[in-house]
Amino acid sequence: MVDRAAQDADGGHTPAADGIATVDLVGVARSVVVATVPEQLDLLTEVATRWEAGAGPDGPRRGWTGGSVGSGIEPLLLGEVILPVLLGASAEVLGDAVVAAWHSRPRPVRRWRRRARSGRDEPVALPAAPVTLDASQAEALRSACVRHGAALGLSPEEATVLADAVYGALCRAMTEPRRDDD
Amino acid sequence: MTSAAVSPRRLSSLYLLVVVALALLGGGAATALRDASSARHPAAAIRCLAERGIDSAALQGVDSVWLQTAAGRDQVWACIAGNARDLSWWMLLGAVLLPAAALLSMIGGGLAVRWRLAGSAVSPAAGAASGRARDRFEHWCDRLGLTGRRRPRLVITPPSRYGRQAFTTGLPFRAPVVVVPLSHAYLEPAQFDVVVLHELAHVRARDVSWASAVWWTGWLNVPVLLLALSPLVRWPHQRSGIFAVYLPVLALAVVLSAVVLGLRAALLRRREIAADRYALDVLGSADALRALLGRPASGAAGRGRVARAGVAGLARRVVASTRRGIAVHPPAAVRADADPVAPQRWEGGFAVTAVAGVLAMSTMQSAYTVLSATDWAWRSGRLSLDVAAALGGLLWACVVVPAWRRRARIAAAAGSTPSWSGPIAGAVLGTVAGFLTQAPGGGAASARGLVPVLFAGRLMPGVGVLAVVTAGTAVLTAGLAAAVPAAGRPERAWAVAAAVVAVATAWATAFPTAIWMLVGYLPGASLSRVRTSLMGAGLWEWRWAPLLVLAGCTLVAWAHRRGPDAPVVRSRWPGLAVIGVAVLAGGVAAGLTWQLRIGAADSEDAVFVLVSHRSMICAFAGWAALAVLLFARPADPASSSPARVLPRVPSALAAGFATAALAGVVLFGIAAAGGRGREVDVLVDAVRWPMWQLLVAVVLTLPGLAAVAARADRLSRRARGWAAGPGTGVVITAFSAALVAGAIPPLAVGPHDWSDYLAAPHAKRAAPAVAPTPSTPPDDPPPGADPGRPLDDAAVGAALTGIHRLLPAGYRRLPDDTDAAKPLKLQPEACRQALDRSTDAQRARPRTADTARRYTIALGPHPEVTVEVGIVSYRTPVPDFTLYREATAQCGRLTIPSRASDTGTAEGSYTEGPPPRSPYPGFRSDFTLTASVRTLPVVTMWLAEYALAGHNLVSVSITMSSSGGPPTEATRRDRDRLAEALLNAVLQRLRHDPPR
Repeated sequence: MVDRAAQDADGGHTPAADGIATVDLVGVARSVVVATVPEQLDLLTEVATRWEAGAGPDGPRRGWTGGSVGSGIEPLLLGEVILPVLLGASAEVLGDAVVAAWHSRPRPVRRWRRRARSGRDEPVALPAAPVTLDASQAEALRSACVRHGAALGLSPEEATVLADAVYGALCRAMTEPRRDDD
Repeated sequence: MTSAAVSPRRLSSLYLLVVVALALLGGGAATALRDASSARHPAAAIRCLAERGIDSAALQGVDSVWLQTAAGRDQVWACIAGNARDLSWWMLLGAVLLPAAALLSMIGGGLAVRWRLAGSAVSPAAGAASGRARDRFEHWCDRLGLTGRRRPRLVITPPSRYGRQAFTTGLPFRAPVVVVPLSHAYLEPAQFDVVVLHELAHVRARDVSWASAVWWTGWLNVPVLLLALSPLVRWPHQRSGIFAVYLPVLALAVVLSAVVLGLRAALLRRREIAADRYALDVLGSADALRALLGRPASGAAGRGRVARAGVAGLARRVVASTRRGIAVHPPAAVRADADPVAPQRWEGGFAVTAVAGVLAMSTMQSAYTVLSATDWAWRSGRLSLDVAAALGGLLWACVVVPAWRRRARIAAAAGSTPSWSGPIAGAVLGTVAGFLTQAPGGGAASARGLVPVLFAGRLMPGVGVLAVVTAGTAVLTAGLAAAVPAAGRPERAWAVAAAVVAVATAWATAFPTAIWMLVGYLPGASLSRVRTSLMGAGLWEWRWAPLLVLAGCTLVAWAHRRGPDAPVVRSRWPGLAVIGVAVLAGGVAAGLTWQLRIGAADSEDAVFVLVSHRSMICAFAGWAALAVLLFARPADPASSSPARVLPRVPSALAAGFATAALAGVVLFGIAAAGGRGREVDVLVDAVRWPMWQLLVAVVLTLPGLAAVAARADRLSRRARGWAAGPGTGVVITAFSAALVAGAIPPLAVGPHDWSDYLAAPHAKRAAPAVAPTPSTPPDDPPPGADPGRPLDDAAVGAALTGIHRLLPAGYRRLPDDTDAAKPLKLQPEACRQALDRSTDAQRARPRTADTARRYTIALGPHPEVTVEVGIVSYRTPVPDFTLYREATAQCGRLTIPSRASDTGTAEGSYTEGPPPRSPYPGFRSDFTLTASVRTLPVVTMWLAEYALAGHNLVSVSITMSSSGGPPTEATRRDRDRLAEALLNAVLQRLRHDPPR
């Protein structure tokens, strides 16, 4: 069921009674990107895949060995930052167990191994990051998104827009009827 | 979008500074490694010197008798040549290896980056965005004409794979690689273009490898120095001594590392700004860059946060300043074109100028050390310093002239006047700091500069003179830099080269001259020697320096007059009139002073006075013309601001030097008409000598002249050209009259300067280091005198008064030693107990007076010998020296703990010697200690002689240390004679002073 929700372009969700819903964070991120900057969907997919492979938001440090000097310009794109913002905010609101559980779940075969097996690039499915939350936690998640967005370098206005988009996706998840193809 | 024809400006001079800093630090570290790992060569040199009776420490002073004569220098050189060559090779090796290490680190870093990139790039077919990015990148490469090995390869990396910044990595002789995170491919096209053009700017500036190598600069110094000093752990007993010696060296290394890190960061920031500017120039708009950088933090808000707490706020400010100082990227506001010229102003500002001054002076000192290792340099004396100064001057000129030229251009373009106080202050501080210090680890394992060691104890006069000379050279530099025309003019390249040559020449002559004048002045405070040396330096050493300065100034002045901001000159006649009047007045006055007095000159002294007078008059004529033309404000109203005085400096200098030279020609003509000196070399000297004296005067007076001229510009709106010519003539005539009449004695050569100059080395050589004092036993006491009577403190003090007259010249009184002697943990135990018994018995005996005088003297080649003369008057007569004899009997061989020794102990003996010749019972003991200090034997000898006169025990002790072996037999004889003479002199005073 969760896997199916992850594939839902509208932000896969599992609504329940009395305002509690189980949503997939990656799905929420996807729905926000689709709604705001759909051309960055590929970027989100790449970011999520790298997260799936265990890489952190900053990746390995470049430059301590010399050999290069960076441009000093770090553009922030929604498709790149939304997942770190969402996971950070969820960890703050729902506890670190959410992120820890996501990281410790059974993982699919690594991408490079899949490539090695198939010998060609294939479309990569987004990983799933299910969390369960109620309406008050959704509100808290919205505020946390603003803080985490600002911490990652977004301006307050940009962080608020991002948080509103996330909150909207969460609200839709809580209010829309369940779509279960099973 | 605009065409991208102009490449970003290269930062060659700043990179040059970084490379020089690395080379100097490498040389210092290599020297430290040499000293720490083996003392073979220094020990051999010191031993050799000791065998010849030359104390190595005595060679460091400017007044060392051993360096005054050719024979003495040959003796010293025979001993130190091996060590000097070894030191030189080590320095050269380090100077090559540390920059090479930075280069290898760059290559290693570049290889590491490429290795990590291998296989991790996003596939070209991975997505539409990356495909578009590749197309755009290729488009810009084509448009900017990047082909062949200069055409970079694009690597798009997955998100966060190598951070979120684009970067360029390069390896020598390989095409650079531009690495762009995938997220950049999703940017607006204009924003993507900014990033790509920024990276391509680095490629076009061809400084990717440079910047990568610079990355390591600053981080290498301290670790390399610590590594070089690591062999010192072999001497654990000496750790406190080693720590005391090398702590200042390490502290200096840390400070220099911080400076180099700051310079490196500033250089990288400058490079980033140059790349940004290039991208903006190509795109023609800063909007995309501003959008990428986001909104910079509000300065007011930031300050508000910082200012809210006391200590915490201060700490935060320090942290913020430090982070700003070592950040390799400029703030967003600067990058977004908020202040387009700020970075270029910085390039010619206080910090860079100070660093250039430090490095130029350090280059001079290090090069001097390296060059001194050659036979020709040692024998020629000054040549090594002159060549070293030329290297320092070239570095200074190559860095500062272009930077200050840009500073002046930026201000001119903005319609403002540049402030020169900061850069000139930076020049003075940096040069003096570079003079006082040396590359950490270099030379004598000390943080002090090589040359200042010569001025031990007399440093402040040296610093003052260096500061004055630096200020003069800096104003000359500023004047030449300010007059170089703007970029795009065909004359610019010539003018820059001419300015660099003129400034380098002035620098390279001014500092060695100042140093040699100090060397000549400090030992005897002799102004006559300074005057004569100053006169002769231009004739013997820097013969062509003034001509080079004249040529440089002339070229720069010519280019300035052809430039767009040349002053509006209504007529050149007033200027030419001033020069003409000065030439005639100076030349005729000089010729007359010569012609009218040469007949009565009956000695070399008199001829020297006449020659110096005539050339001084010609030089003054040049100086007067220079001053008048510097004060002559052009008619251009825009040039009324004070800073516009500086562009007038080259033309004024050219006019001054030409005037001095032409006045010399007139003088030669008058002398030749009188039938004297019709040879060509006399004409050349008549021209060259005044020019040299003018150069000296320019360096000393130019800052003051420029300041007064700027002040006069502010006050006066109208130039009074009609009065300039006659006024100049009157002033020159008055000066000539005053000089001939002897009214300006500090400047004018005295009647005996020449003979004093010639005689000084011989006088010094003839003076013995110690006057051997004949030891005369006391004569019979007068009736009623009782030298054995109990004395009070006043009587003892009276007996010791005047004892210093027996000491050699140059003695110093030391403070009284009031500290009780600490018990020594010496072995064997029987010796220690015997010494304790002797000491306890002396302390327990009641006394009426106990006084001693301590002095330090130079004895033979040993500059620091301690002499102590004392009298103890006991209430009861002292029977004999039984306890002393018991101690010497038990201490024939002994060991003492020594932290300076390699083994932790020093070995020696305490023995009884032949008693002093005196009518009273006497005793003599010799205490000798030998310790191995990093394999070098150091011998300390303590001679004590005693005489018993009734209640009074008179004692004389002399302590001396010698590296490499014991003092020579002759030195020991001098010491013994001095001790006996002092003892008998005190006894004589006791016999003749009536009882109180």
